[in-house]
Amino acid sequence: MSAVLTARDLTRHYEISRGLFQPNAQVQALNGVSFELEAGKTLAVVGESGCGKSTLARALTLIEEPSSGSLQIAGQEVTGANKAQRKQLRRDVQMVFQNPYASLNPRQKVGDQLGEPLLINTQLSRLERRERVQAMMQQVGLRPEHYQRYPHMFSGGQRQRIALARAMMLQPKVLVADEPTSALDVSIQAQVLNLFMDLQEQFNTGYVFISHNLSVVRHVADDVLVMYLGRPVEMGPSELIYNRPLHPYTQALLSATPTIHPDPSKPKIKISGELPNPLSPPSGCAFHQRCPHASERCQVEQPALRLLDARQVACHHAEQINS
Amino acid sequence: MTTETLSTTLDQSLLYPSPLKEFWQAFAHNKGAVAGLAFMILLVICALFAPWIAPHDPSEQYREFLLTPPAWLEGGQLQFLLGTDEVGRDLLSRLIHGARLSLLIGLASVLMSLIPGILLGLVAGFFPRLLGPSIMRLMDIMLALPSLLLAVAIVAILGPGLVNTIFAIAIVSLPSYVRLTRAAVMGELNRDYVTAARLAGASLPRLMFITVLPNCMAPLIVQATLSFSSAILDAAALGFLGLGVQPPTPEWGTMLASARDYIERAWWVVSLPGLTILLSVLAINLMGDGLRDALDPKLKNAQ
Repeated sequence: MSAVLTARDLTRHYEISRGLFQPNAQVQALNGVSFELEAGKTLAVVGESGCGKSTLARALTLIEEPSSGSLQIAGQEVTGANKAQRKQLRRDVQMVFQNPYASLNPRQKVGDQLGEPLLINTQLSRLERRERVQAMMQQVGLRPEHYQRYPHMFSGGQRQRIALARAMMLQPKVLVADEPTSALDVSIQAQVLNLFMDLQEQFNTGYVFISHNLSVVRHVADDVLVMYLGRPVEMGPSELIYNRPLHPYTQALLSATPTIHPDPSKPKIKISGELPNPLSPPSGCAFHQRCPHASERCQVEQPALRLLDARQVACHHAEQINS
Repeated sequence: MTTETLSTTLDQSLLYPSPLKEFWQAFAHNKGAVAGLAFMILLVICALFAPWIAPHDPSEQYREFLLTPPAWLEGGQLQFLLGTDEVGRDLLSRLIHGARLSLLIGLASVLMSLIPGILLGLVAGFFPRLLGPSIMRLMDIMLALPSLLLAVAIVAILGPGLVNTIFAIAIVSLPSYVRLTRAAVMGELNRDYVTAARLAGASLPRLMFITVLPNCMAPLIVQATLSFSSAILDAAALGFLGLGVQPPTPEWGTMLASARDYIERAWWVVSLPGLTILLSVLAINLMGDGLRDALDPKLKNAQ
């Protein structure tokens, strides 16, 4: 199995103007994220609001240039690719958005929207396109007569299935899903998630699944990447991380997941305070101000990702905390 | 498998009417819009066949019938159905002939400001850093001048005449289209469906005209129908200043302006051209409303 998506030290900084007489500030939205995604696997990216998940999605889908670092799609480098190569690369990464009410064009019929990627990227005739669209609609559980309907005639779950169908029309190698179920009813979420997984099995697509719903992530993910303030803090196989989180932030995140029968032996870890201002990130470990285990070393020295217990952790004290 | 899908697609196309027919069905839902369309068709027929429909020559002066009231009033003449004006010309004939110029001025100036306005607005919305500010400042300068003054200045530069009048009115009403389009485009550009179209590989013209523009049309259609009436009245104002259509060419606005001295003695000379302008503007606005609703899939089936 080869990697379909490889990110190395992906970084995205935004320049923010603070007025005429002050120097521009820099927001470090994404700070050195590296991972590999294999075909047919799912990498889940979790973290609280503002930690850079959506910036990562935008960088992966080539909507935004990363400030530095490298991104390879199916072995081909993105930075420095010429226009024709970029067009091909863009085909290979598609995206499903969070809000299905905003991600479909209200003035275009469903059939036309699904056919648009084919119209732009292939030489298929009208009839062939129509056939492909109908086949895909059947796969995502839409009836043939929905072809002629407008998006406002559908429910949220149906719209998200249409959005998924549109993303899959070109059979991309990578699908980035930015919180695809968070805008849906709980009763619909499972149905849409299962559709995601069915299509993945069929097309062998690699998924980057961005979410803050940890139970959803557990259901779909092979690997999990936990982010905090633009940096990865823990990354590894899903089962390992869920069963035995090593980073204090991951532990806090997992213990915050509501359960029906809470385990009394595992008290809830509370972290106080808010995500620090990304304009002036704290020195040392970004999490030290909220970490119950922080020491002086954490205030000065930034922890690097290191291999521990079959996963990568960025914490100075991972061994002591978990022994 | 293939044949099966083919037959279902054929069934679908049988089930669903062609876009044109579908549009007409949605348009016909709106009774007011159909009435407006009927009146407009009547006006266009009048304009096209004016020499054959009009009972008299519009410039011929019947000196013995000055200010004759309409036929149904006391002292009215059956041969002058809507009466005559201050120099004895038949009003009905002048109104019928005037439809030609007035409709031309209205339509041409609306189109000539709508199309460049949409283009400039799209460009300003899609390039908010480079071209946007310069286009918008230029439009602000045009908005800062009183519109009639600007029109007079333009006609003074280009010279009086029908085409230059249309041109001047079109330039004066350009900024409102640019502003409306840009505002709508900037609102739509941040929506996810535009990003999705980008991801699908849509080129810039495709994004502009197929993805974004149809979603910005509602305020533009309303503005276009409203400015149709102001175009006719602006043309009348220019004509009144001697810069527009020259008398004795019949034109509704000029007729309205030149007859205002007789408003107390002979109301019909002023009221009838005014009424014609009012009715045609109303008809166009109703049509515009129907058009907007028929083009918006959300409003289409709302009753």
